Formats: sequence, structure tokens, C-alpha cells
Amino acid sequence: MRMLSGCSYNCKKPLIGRIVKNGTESKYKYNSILVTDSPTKKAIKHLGVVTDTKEIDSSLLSSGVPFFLGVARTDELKVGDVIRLNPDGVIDVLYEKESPHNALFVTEQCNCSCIICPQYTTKKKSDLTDSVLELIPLIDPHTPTLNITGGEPSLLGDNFFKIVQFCKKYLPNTALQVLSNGIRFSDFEFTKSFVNINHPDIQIGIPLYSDNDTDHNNIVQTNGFYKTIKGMHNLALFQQKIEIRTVITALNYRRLPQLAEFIYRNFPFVIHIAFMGMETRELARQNLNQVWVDPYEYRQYLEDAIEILYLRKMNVSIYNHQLCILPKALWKFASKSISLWKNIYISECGSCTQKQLCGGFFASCQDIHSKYIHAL
Amino acid sequence: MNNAKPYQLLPFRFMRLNNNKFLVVNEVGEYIFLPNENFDKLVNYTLDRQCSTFLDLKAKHILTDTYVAPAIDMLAVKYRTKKAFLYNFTSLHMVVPTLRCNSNCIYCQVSKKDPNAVGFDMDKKTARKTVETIFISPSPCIKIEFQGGEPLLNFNRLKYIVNYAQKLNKKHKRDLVFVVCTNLTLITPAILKFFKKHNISISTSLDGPCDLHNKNRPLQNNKLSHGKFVANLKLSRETLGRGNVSALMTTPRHSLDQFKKIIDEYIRLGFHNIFIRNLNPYGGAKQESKTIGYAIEDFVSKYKDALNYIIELNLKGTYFAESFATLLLQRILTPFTTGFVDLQSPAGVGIEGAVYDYNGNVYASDEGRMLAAMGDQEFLLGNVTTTSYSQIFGGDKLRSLITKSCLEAMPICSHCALQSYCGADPVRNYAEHGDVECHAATSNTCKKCRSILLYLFELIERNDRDINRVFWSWINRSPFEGRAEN
Repeated sequence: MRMLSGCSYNCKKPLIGRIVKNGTESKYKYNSILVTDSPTKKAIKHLGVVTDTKEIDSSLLSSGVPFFLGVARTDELKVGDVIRLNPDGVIDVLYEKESPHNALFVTEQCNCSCIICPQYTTKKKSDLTDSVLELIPLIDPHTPTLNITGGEPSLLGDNFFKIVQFCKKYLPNTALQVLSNGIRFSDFEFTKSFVNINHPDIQIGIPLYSDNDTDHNNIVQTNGFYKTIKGMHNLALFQQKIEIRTVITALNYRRLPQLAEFIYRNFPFVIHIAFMGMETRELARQNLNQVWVDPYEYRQYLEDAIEILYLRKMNVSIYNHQLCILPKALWKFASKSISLWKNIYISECGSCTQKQLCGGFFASCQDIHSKYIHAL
Repeated sequence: MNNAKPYQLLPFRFMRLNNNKFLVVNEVGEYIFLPNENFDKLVNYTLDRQCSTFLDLKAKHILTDTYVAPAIDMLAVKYRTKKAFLYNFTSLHMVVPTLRCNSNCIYCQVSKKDPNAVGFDMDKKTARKTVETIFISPSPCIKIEFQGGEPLLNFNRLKYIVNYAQKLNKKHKRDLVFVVCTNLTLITPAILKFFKKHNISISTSLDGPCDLHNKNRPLQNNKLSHGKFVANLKLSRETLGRGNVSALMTTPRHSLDQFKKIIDEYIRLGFHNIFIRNLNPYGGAKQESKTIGYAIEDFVSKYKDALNYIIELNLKGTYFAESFATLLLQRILTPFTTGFVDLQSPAGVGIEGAVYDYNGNVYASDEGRMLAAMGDQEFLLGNVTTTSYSQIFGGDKLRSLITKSCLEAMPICSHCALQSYCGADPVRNYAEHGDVECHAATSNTCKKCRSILLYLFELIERNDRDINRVFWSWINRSPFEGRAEN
């Protein structure tokens, strides 16, 4: 997530609030955080104040209201964004009103250790429910979509259900996308409780790396393949919306066409399949030698897999790929899928005529990308 | 020595395709072509667990080197999906409002009566009991298909049945649809208005261009039918919409060499598919077999030529499908169930479709009625006026028929590699051999299905991107998107 920092005053504990600016101070009645160049006395009626100014009137500081001074890039904060002010001066941007890629980060704990995982995860207990429940009511109710991610969200059990219930209550018009490895859903009763929340628009995105347990389990580093499949079948029994997400790696690209056929034969009910380029952070970066493959090398496998699914009327997309390394026939499947705050283009892209259509790169891929990137 | 096997085989069937390779098919129709060498290794437990063939077989649940139970669970889910046609019980209800007909087709299989014959119309009481019996079926979808004779010769009774069914459906709330099988010659704007109002679609017969159609399907007074057919086809489409008028063709001997012309005529008249059907051994077709019959091998050979011609047409940009190939391709290439009464296992007779004759007699299939018209009541299940629903559809006769029509338990069929794509037609078997069980070695249906399936597999094995796209355009019922870009 996007992060800023400054010098914190009067901030004893983390505070979550919504951004207002000069002229929109009264937009939110509670939990408002003012972002301003020149704080005045009026500023102290807010929950907190963020400013790029390094020095302010000491009478303002003595009000006891938390002030964050000398914060660079405050222009990145927009009215309606939700941020967390931390006592150490770090400002976490929890929700960006204008971004299509917002996520509720609910736990760092995961029961898989995917060797291409770009997120920090831990096997220890981690539960961020309290702050997420604080965040949800502050999110703009017109937000079209919201991810629930981790770690593995379903490990929170009842708290996971509580988060979904909160979304249903405060954001009834927001489509939810849960990113889950599906293993918890192999428990029929768990799935039933989840379905009983009766959220009006929720989808589960589940990673499936291979058409066989040996290859899949090797990537997720746990014996999860058949549990994930059982989870998908349980969700399908309740007619839940399931998406399959497949990150393409050196370990699974050769069987992408077979995986496509496997998906069609066993999970024809899934509403979407995403073939995804790797985000080379965390474990993915540590295991780079083992997992990295130049997307140019697998383009034919990808094209065959897409053809198989497309002919079978399955809804398929390509995420995180650059147009210059995809066969033109695949362009219509490519999606601009990278969250705005970590989406970059590299120097070769400067003169490219297709840049507007292209999804670009993860910031983490600055130095690790296809050798065949070129301007079109 | 360690006797433990490195992997376990799961249920599959196989056949030798030629000197070089085998076709291996699992219980739910997923297939793989294996060179002799790999097949030998597979069954001798010496296949390398790292090779791609091994993983292909594993992904198709033909073997496993890890867990067995979850693989069986996945197969079970797919098996239920493939056999889903069994869930709903009888959904196709064919009703014969009259056996009178104004056509005089050379191959008439139903032993129709003259237009002014007396005593072959369904009376009102029988019609009422028929509709009431139909609605006892538990199926959420009810299709009432009017057969004949020419059902429009008793249009009043047809109207009564439609109205009464819709009245009953207010309470039953089924997905209720109607189809009228008609030669189109008696269609009038008033009839079409009724069809439109009640959402009734038309299934008609077209045997080819003018001379051929007139030769096969003259009217009773020797009048020609093609001109009237074309004019009324246009009228029907204008009122009901193109999608609500479909056509079937039948193949007497002299049509065998005319498939191209027949296909061209279908396209000229704006149809997007053709069902190339061989003659059934009933009624006129059986009596006249010396003049219009042929060996099934001849039909298959011409069928293949026709299929190639149709594929070529598609590759050149004309979207046009062959219905039998489409059905078999759906069974080979998709995980889904297909509704086709004549080729299911267990057979679809009675449990998927049933026929209500003009006199109230209920038969297990339309062919059962055809046999009855030839004097053999073997497939009579009862009569709507005298027999209860449970006696008709739950009686010993139908149970015995179904029990004897599971390919899974039939000699030869039980281990045939093509079983997953095939089906049993006990009535046809009975007509051909005097036995409801399938006699694969001598059955014409077996010869036909087997040859056509193997030909389709030949085309599938080529893995030609363009042909694949044509096949899927048929399965998806949407136009071919053009050749692959290179």
C-alpha cells in the first residue's frame, strides 16, 4: 500500500480517518483528517492534521490534536481517502477513493508459502480485524469493488465472516473480491457459514497453478491441491462466484494448455480465469532463480491456453503483462491490472505508441522484466 | 524385489486406433491418444512419472501416483454432470393429435392414414387425459411436441391441448414449450398467429432441392410440395422468427449421392444446420427397403464426405453445422450432459421422452409407436384413459427396458472405448434383431456411431486450429470467427 511519512506530534496511538482539504472541511462529520499547506486555528477541530510545512504555530501543537509535519507528496492524498496516522510518523494509505484497486488487508498469516508470493506472510497468528472494522465504515459507499486479502483471509474464521458482514452493512453496493487459497472452504460447514452471510456480490479468487497435485503443491509449498479443489467444489455447490488465478512461473508454464483443459473439464462453472505475470517481491524475489521465466519464452503456451478457454466460452484474462511481449491475438485478453500506486513504465516505454493501452510493470519489476520489452 | 506399483490405474477404456496408437477414454469421456509404446508402459506400470504423458494421464484421472480418493471424488462430480439427463425424468412428450396426413412420403415410418380417413384423430377426452398425464411428470421442463400424421389436420385438437396445458401450467409452473412437427403445407396466417401467441416453434422436413424434395415427399394427391414448402417457410419465419423454424432431413438411397446439393439447398433457404439422418427400419422405410434402403457403410462413407464439405464451407465463412456431429462433439469435448433420446445410457425411452398416440396409447418412444403401427405392441406402456401414471412410467415394462439398456452392463459395449459417447436404443435393437439388448457386432446403429465417432477423433487428433474453431462454433451455436491469425 502507499505510504508517506513525516514528523508526528501528539499521536499516542494509530488513528484512522478520512482526508478533507481546505474548502471541504465539513464533508465528513467525524474522523476527518485535514491535509493543508497552512494550518490555521480551525484545523484543530479535526481528528488530525497532515501538512508539508515543517514548522507551525506552537499554540496549534499545544491543542493536543495530532499533527504530522513535513510530509512530502501530500498532493497524493485525495479527499475521501482513508489513512492511518502512526505514532512513528508513518502514514499508511488504507483506501484511495479514485483507485479501482483497493484492498482490505486482513491478516499476514497464511497456510501456504507460495514460492512466488509477493506479500510478506507469516505462519504466526495475525489478525488485523479491529482496524479493518474501523476502516470499513469510512470507505466511500459508492466504491465499485474492494478486495479482501492477506495472508489468507479465511484463517480468521469468525472474524473473516464479521468483516464480510461489515462490508455488507456499510458497503452494500460494493462488489467484494476475496483472495483465498480455498483450502478453508474444503470444510463444508465453513463454506455454509460463509454463504449464509448472503453478501449480494462477492467473488472468491483462488490460485491454481497446475493440473496436477505434484506441481501445484511444489509451488504452494503445502499439500493443498485437493483441498483447494474440494473448496472450489463446495463453493460451486452453493453457486458462489469463483475466479481462478494462475501466476505463470518457470515451474508451470509448460502445462498451461493442459491446465486450461483441466479447468474447463473440472471447473466449467468459474466465472473468470486470470493468467498472471509475476510480481517479484518477497518470496518471489528470493526464489527468483527457480521461478523466473521470461514471458517471451512462454507466449506460445499462453496463447494455446487462452485459445482453449476462449473456444470453450470461458471468460479469461491476462494480468500483469506488457503488450510488446504478447502476440497481438492476445491483446484483447490483456487487462490493466496493476494497482496504481505500484504501477510503473520503464524507459523503453517512453516512445511507445501503445502505452495508454498497456498495463505496464510492477514497481518491483523495474530491474526484472522480459528482455524483449520494446516500444511499439 | 519391491512389488509396490509406482502408480495406480483408475477406470478407463481403450481401443487400438491403428498399428501405431491407442485411444484411451476415461469414465467421463476425457480422452488421450497414446502411441503403442506409451500404452504398453502405462499398463505395465513402467511409464516415467516425470514425463508429460504421465502428467496428462494424471490430469485426466486415468491414473494417480498420489491420492486415490480425491481423484475419484473429482471423477464422481464429472460423472454426475455427464449423467445429469437422468435428474428430471421425462421432459419430452410427443403427442399425436391425428394419424392422418396429406403427405405421401416414400419412406413414411409412422404408417400414416389418408387425409379423409375416419377414426385416427385424438378425441377431446383422450387429449385431456394426455395433458393431465404429462403434468404428472416431475420434470421442471416440459416440451410437448406434436407429431403425426400431419398435426395441422387436427388443428382444433392441437389448440385444445396447448390451451389446456397452459391452463394446468398456471398451477404447475413448469418451463413449458411446444413444438409442432409439420410439413408446412397447411400453414396459414391464422395458424401462425396462434403459434406466435403461444410461443410454439416449428420443426419441419426438408429433403433437399426441389426435385429431390418432391420425389421423397410428394403430397397425397401426387401434388408437388416443395414450392408450397418454400413459400410457407418464408411466411412462418416472418411471423415466428428465424430461430423458431427448424428442419430435419431423411436419406433414402437416391439421396446418398446428393448430400452436397441438399446442404446447398439448406443454406440457400437460410438454415444454419442440417441433421443428416439415415433411414429408420420402420413403416414404409422397412417395406420399401429394396428400393430406398442401403448398407449403413454406404451411408457412413457419404456422411463423411458431407461432413468434410460442411467443414470447408465453414472455413470459407459460412456458419453451418451438422447436428449429429455436433451432438457427438459435445459429448467428446465438453464435460456437460446432452439430451438426445435415441442415444443415451441408460436409454432415454420413457424416462427422457414418451409418445402419446391418437388413441391414448403411451409408447416408450416414437419408434415404439411405429412398431405398433406395424402390428407389434412390444413398447406399449399403457393408455392414458385406462392406466395410471405410475403404471405407465413406473411399471415393469419400462423398468425392464431401462435395465436392459445400460451400455455399462452390455456385452461388447461394456468395454468399448467409445461407450462414454454412445447410447442404447432398445426399440431400434428390437426392430433390427428382435432383442432389446444391443448386439454390437451386427448392429447398424453401432456401425454408424462407431465409424462417425472414429472419424471425428481423426479430425480432433489433427489438432488443426481452424477445424477446432469450426467444431466449437457448432458446439457454441455461434458463428466461426475465421481462421487463426498466423
